[in-house]
Amino acid sequence: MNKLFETENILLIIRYIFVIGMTILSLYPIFWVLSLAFSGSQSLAITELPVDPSSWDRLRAIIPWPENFSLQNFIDVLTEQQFGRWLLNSAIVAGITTVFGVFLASTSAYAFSRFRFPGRGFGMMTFLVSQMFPGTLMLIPLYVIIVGWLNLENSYIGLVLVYSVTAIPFCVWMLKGYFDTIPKEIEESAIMDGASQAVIFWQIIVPLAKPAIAVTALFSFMAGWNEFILASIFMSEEQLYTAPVGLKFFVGEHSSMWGYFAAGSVIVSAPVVFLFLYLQKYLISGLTSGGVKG
Amino acid sequence: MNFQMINSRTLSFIALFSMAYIAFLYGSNDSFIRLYQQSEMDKAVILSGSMAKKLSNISATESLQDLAINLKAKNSNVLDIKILKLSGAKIVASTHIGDMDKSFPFRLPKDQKPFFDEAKQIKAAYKKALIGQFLNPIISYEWLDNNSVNTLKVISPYTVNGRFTGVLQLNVLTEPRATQAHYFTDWLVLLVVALALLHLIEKKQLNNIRFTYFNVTKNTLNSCLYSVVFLIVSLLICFQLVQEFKAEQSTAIEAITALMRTIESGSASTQALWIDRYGQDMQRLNTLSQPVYLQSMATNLHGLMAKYAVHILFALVLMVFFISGSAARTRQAFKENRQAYMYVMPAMLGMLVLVFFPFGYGVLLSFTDTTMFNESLPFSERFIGLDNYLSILGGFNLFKELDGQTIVNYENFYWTLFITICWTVSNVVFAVGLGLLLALALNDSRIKFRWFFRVVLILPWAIPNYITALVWKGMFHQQFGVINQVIQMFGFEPIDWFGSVFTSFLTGLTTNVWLGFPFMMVVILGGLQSISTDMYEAARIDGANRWQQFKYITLPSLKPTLIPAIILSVVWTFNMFNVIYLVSAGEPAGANEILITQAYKIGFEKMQYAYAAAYSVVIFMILLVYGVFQNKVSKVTDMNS
Repeated sequence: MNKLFETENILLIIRYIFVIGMTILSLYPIFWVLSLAFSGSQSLAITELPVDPSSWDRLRAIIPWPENFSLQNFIDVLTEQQFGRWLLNSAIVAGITTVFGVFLASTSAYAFSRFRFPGRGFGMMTFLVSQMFPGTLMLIPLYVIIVGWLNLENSYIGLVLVYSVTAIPFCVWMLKGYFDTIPKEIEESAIMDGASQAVIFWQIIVPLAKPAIAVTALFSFMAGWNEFILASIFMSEEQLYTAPVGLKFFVGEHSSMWGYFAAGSVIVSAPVVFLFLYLQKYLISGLTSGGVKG
Repeated sequence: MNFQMINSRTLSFIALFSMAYIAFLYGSNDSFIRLYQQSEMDKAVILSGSMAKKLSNISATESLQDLAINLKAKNSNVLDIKILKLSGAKIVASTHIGDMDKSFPFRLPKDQKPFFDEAKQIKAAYKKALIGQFLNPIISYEWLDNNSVNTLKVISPYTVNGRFTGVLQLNVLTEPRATQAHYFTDWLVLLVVALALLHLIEKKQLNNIRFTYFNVTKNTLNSCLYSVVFLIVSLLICFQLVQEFKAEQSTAIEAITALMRTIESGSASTQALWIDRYGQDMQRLNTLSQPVYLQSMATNLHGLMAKYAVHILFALVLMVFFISGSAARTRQAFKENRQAYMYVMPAMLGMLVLVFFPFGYGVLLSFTDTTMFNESLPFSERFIGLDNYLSILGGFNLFKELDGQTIVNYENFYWTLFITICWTVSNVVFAVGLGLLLALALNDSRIKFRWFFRVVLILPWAIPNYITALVWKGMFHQQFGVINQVIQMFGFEPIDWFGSVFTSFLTGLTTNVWLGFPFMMVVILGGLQSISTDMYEAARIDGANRWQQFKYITLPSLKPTLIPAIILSVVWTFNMFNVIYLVSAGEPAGANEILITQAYKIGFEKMQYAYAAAYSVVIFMILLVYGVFQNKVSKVTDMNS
């Protein structure tokens, strides 16, 4: 009995309480969205409160469990609303952004990692500084370039170009960090075997850097999948909205369709969350190795 | 001619000089055309204004049609005159060929509906201007460009007994613009002069004079010489063009003064408010009195000279780049590192076009007074120098009076900066604190289901942050939000979260800490796992207690992972647009706006593009200073440890 009250045990119990408390806090909003999504109604409240609610009614109102389960919100959002179309737009934009972004980032990260050339340090530095450019400064010029000069309003290409390029600096830093850890000897022996530079890059380096490239891909994907300001500026036709623009539209200034919003959020988040959890350990190593060594 | 003279330096000089010359001409052409159009428009406007005045003074017995024919006969450049009475949409007089055989007044045909709409816009503008004390004509104009003949359409209102009655439309034939044809000879003469000058210098072998005191290389010396010669010649060009511009200006002013004199005194209006064909105020009050008119001409000249200065600067940079041998070295470097540059090229090209160019464009924009309404004006006329920055950084009006009470002026830059700093610091402190505690707890191997906690605690990071923000916004809802339900469960009154500065700040903070702690936790966990247990073992043997172990082993070992993570998260939080914009939207009354959302608001709700750009540049400078400072500090601490 005494043993239970030793400092070590008390500390352990405190730790448990803290960790479990934080877990509940982390999960609560997620369950809240899920219960709205499966509630089948558009209300923001989980239950209808009676006129003079007791504490018990109030407790019921905060437990994230819908009163009656229904898939209606999911069915409606995909069929009655244009959300399906918006999801497709997002998928196309994010998909092409991923391919294009990974290509751009991996080639230049490889050069920064393997070659010593004039302008290398300057290039890396400008990439870093560009991360500090405020988005509000870029909006108008980007609009002028994409819509005014390139005439890419209401086109997937405009968004893809902007997303994949703005994701470059971060991806390059991460990939470069990873490429640096790949021993140079592998390439040297390949050169001895008569492999060309292109073969070395595409057939040796890229396969070896798979985890880092996966993270870069995830990052590029998220850049396209989650952005809503540029998308709302470049895509003026409702047909061509992306999912984030659509979700914001559901709970914007003039509407409060929380049920649709919740169902849409679940659909939008699910793929990203799974990808993220799957790739998170690479993400951390990429972040730290790229950031620390510089 | 000495053949040696034609070396690569000379060639690049010739090329650059020719390019600069073309750029000067092209750049000024714009200003010349505007000057021409402006003076033509002014003439037409004066004419139209005086005619409208005559219409207003007409006695009831006179025929409007006779007057119109009379006016047309007097002014040879007037193509036709149309007078529309707005009530009943009747054409009361017209000298248009198609209308001559009709009996006046007749109803405006359907296909001329745009004319009626314009008239209505003029009426609206007139009514508005009356409130603003401008009792004189409001004029709408349109420049009709048909390849050979330029005509100008001017519409002005006329009144009967001081009441708006209708409009008078003039179609005026403009005088053709005189063009200069001596450009090629100018170019040739100046080029020969420049080359002769350079030749003279080279022949005197000034290059071989040893500047022992300054220790300059031949390349530097050359670039200096070429730059000076270039500067002299281009200043000559600019001087000449400015002279031409001035000459055209004075011709235009003379013509206008003469016109004003021929029109009977008192009948010409002295002021006219300009609107374009969309009824939009042109922000140009055309005061047709000479001093003010001259002043507006002078600003045109300043714009032209600013343009020249930019051109010369740009050409000089290029010149130095080529003459000093940097260009050759760059080419050499490119040759040697072809492969590396090929790999970097696609990304760099993209960054140049879609990141660095927009950035430069934005910075340029911040030196203008661009808003939604004057976007189409040429850059030189929007240029206002540092005014935006002065008004942002020099605005110390932190408090303002409202209904006799002194309240904080939430739109002030320093208030927003204060909120932004509070926001960044509190977010980072809470996120790092929570992350550290969680990481320490989860690092304890006695905790069961550690993998489960780790996965669940990462979830907030994985969910797209705009969704999180909207979810928290819903949970903070005053009537239906879950958080107020909890408060009410314990018997308290529900809180209007977005109603006061502090609670509204809390909503953003809660959301962002919820979003941000997983990242910190994961980074710190990674750091903790790299600390070997031997060190703790040794410390325990030495009798160090738990706190000492934490202070002397854990924290120093975490530093290399923690510091980059903190720098990153400071930059992210400082510019965390989504959370503020979507959760509290800066409520109440913009008090909780952070710099980046404030810039967005200025740019896209108030449509003051240039001011927003200047605001953004200030944000960038703050972050840059922070980055450099942080870099220095961490380098110093690295050296000490």
